[in-house]
Amino acid sequence: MNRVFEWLFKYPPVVFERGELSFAALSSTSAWMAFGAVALGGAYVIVRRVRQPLPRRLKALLIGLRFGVFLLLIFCLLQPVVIVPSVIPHSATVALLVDDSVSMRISDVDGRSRLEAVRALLAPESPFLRQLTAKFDVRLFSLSGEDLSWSARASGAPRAIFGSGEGPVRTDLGAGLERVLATPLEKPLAAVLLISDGGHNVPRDLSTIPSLFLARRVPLHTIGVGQEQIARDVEVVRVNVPRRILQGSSVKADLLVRCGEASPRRVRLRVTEDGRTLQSEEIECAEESGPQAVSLEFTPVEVGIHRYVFSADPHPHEPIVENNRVEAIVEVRDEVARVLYIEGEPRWEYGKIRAAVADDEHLNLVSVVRTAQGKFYRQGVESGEELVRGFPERPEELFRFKGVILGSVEAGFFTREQLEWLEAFVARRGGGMLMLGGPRAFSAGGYALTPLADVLPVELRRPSEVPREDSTEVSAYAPVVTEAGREHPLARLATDPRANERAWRALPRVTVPETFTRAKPGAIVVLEGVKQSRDGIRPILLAVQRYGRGLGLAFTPSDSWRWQMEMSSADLSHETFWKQMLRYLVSSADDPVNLLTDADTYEVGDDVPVRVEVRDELFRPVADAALDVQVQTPQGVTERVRVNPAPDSEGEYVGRILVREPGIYRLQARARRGDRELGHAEAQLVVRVPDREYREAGQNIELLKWLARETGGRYAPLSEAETLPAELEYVAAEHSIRVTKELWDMPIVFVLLVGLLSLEWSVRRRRGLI
Amino acid sequence: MRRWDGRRSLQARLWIIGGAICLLMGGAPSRGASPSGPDSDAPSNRFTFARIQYGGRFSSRAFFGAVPPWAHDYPRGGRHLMRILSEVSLVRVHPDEVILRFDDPRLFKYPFAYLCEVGFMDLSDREIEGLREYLLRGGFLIVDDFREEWALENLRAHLRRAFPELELEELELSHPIFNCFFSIRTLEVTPPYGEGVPKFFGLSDKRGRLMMIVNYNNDISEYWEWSDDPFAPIEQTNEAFKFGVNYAIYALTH
Repeated sequence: MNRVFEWLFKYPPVVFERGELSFAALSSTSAWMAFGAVALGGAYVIVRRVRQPLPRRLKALLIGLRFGVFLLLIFCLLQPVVIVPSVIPHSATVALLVDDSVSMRISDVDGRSRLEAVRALLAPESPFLRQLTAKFDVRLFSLSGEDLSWSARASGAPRAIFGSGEGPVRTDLGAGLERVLATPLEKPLAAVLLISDGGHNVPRDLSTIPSLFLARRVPLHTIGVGQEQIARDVEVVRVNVPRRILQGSSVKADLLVRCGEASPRRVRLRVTEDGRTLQSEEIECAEESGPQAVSLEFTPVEVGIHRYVFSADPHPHEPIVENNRVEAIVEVRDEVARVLYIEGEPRWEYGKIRAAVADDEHLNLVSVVRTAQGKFYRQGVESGEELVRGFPERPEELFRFKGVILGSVEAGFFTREQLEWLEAFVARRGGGMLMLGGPRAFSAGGYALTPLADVLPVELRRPSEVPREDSTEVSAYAPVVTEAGREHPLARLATDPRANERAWRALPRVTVPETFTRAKPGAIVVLEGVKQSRDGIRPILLAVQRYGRGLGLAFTPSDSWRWQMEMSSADLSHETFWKQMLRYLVSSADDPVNLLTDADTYEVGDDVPVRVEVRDELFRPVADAALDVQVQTPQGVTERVRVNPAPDSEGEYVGRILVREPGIYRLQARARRGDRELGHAEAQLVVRVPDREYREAGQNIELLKWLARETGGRYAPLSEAETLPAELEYVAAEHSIRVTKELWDMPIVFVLLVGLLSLEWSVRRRRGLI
Repeated sequence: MRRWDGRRSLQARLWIIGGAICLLMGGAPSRGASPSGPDSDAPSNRFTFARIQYGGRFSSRAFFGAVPPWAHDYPRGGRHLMRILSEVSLVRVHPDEVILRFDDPRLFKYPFAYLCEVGFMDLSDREIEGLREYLLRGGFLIVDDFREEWALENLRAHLRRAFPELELEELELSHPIFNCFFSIRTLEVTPPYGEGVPKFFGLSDKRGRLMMIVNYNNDISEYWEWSDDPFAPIEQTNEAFKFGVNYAIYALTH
């Protein structure tokens, strides 16, 4: 389009955008108007002289055409010019900053690599370079840090950029741009041209860059290289897995997979544990572009720290195979999580839940059932004194558990203080609290005005507003997994989605003593109930929400025991549901001392932030802890990590580790306060050979456009790079002058002249006027 | 419906005879009584006493009048136990028994069942399968009101068909079922009738959960049934209720 414009109007559009139109022969407007009037009058006289009477419309058309011809002639006679600022040749420098990072080796520009395409752009005979060097001194820089002192007139592009070397394994656009601005030049810097795919993959904020350019009054123009979506590429973008699980728990890995438009429509995904394939699954690529979410589920067998690789099988013509895999670490713990279950009355739900989890070696369900007023039956307790009054007597005792289940027990069973402990158990300790449906639970149990009302994911009513138990409502609702619950671990009775759906459909109906139809904002409804007729309300059966550091859950049916008694003894749905429920319940409960990093996997050369949280036995932050943090490198060398109290968060200590070699780094932290040990924690992280350049490697057009827009420059894709030299040439600056460019000989003038005369001749001929 | 030993008086005999007449006249289930009707559809979200009905060729000694052996002590035995259970504990009970066979799928709505006079029991293969499923799914069964070796052997023969891998084992006083609500002081109890020494057997699943308790040479339901009789010995009635309540609490908590 630009080329057509330039052919018709003799100059590029920027000349007309930035220039002023004028007439060398006559600069007065009134004279121009007089010429126009004469032309109009002349045209009228010529037409009027025709003796043959003409229809009015035809007469007007002929006058108009002739008037146009006169006007064009007058336009030419007036010597039209455009006055535009233009740089004084070779009075200024243009800096070319070429991205030479690894991602520029990707071949997605008409079968060539991005760097090869840039080399063609910078070839001595290319119009781009010829235009540029005609007006400017050109200096070439690479992002990797070299001022190549390149003479644009020399033949061939520098080998330092376009050679066969690997290039930088990460891209820091900010550092490269700053370096160009800081380089002393003989002549003033007119503009910087960044030629890049826009990949910026270091943790550096680019928001300060535009102000640097604006301060220097230097525009930054950007030339984008590469496809925005690499058409033939399949990429495993990222994976999300729990860092720690109890032995026997399944791991649900949430992957983001991106399939290019021209990639195969079916892709096989694999999970390997320590090099052994655990699971593989073929997925159908989504029609729409962008990453799609995929879930893979597997169950680690052995205790310990395992390195999992999630990969997509590469196809034969895939341009980037390096981005087909991601890694994660999962620690499988051989520990027993204690869950406290308080039940207010003997009922089938209690015994059947106990039986469901009885053979799970990693769950210790400690339960108290109030068999009569003031009389308790305890199971799973560690000593004769434990829970002798039906509830822990001190918060420390309560906080030793990781999950709490409240059955059909009224709020009045607890003291106000105990209710506050329970709230803190979830909010501060990070435990999970589950309330079960029953005649004394939820609103009927009087929880609406207690601190636990906030913990629960459903809105409670006052006891007077609760409908009375209706015996006709027995086992009225069939459990149905909601859309949001489909991917939730609590709704997973079988790994295969279809088998899972069948398993839920086969379960008997349940009774819901109190119906809730709305969950709190932020809560996830996992299960809801459907009546036989499939109309009417669909009460919530299971909802979950995060509360503070922990989880609040509501399971509203009172007789899930039917899923055990009314199903075949070979069916394990009831056992599976409750084991998963309890494992999920304890999943958010941390230890008093925690060692955290912001990711599982890093690259060689990364500076890894380390954070240690230290809390006491009541899980209150400890600001005066003495910490000993050590890291063991993959080579087995142990180093001490220096940590300091975080300025903005009490009880947190932060430090950094520079990782220099690939492999698994093991971190360990011990916290003390005086002579007392508060606890210890461990963490692991995978350090891999850098591959960040291959991640999300499509051209980042948005970033390049933003940089150009914010600095007064312009973005152009590589295919339109030739338009940029004109942008640089016609600019008002210290090193520019105003130049006058003649317009009378613009091809458009002659095209119009010939066109108008031809049209007039054609009209006259058709009407028999000639 | 039997007499208890010794100490019986003329009045007691009259009571028994009178009671028997009442039962015969009024609504005791006949052999093959239909499990349909309001009883078998009782709200299963309440603790409900399910009586197991079975078939077989009953000899004359199996009957007390027209009452088949599986219906002995019906309906007052279960009703009285439910009343006592409701009084002493927080269990929400359904007051009346339901009557179901082992091969009736509705039985799975009621995880607490009672079976008596097993010496006369003759279960079909479907009923055996039902018995196995019922106990494996989590049902709890009280076997009561039978005596002598031949009756125990008949029970064992049925259990071998249902659970070839399991054996009845004699229970000791330390078992949780004797301590989960009332702390029962002795297992040397006085049976309401008969000469044999009462024993308590249990059948447990692979995890150790007691699925069935067997009151051999005993009939604690007899004590429940006559608990409202002013001539019934209060101490033995009380002890019988303690066993019954403990059985219910054990079933609910294990």
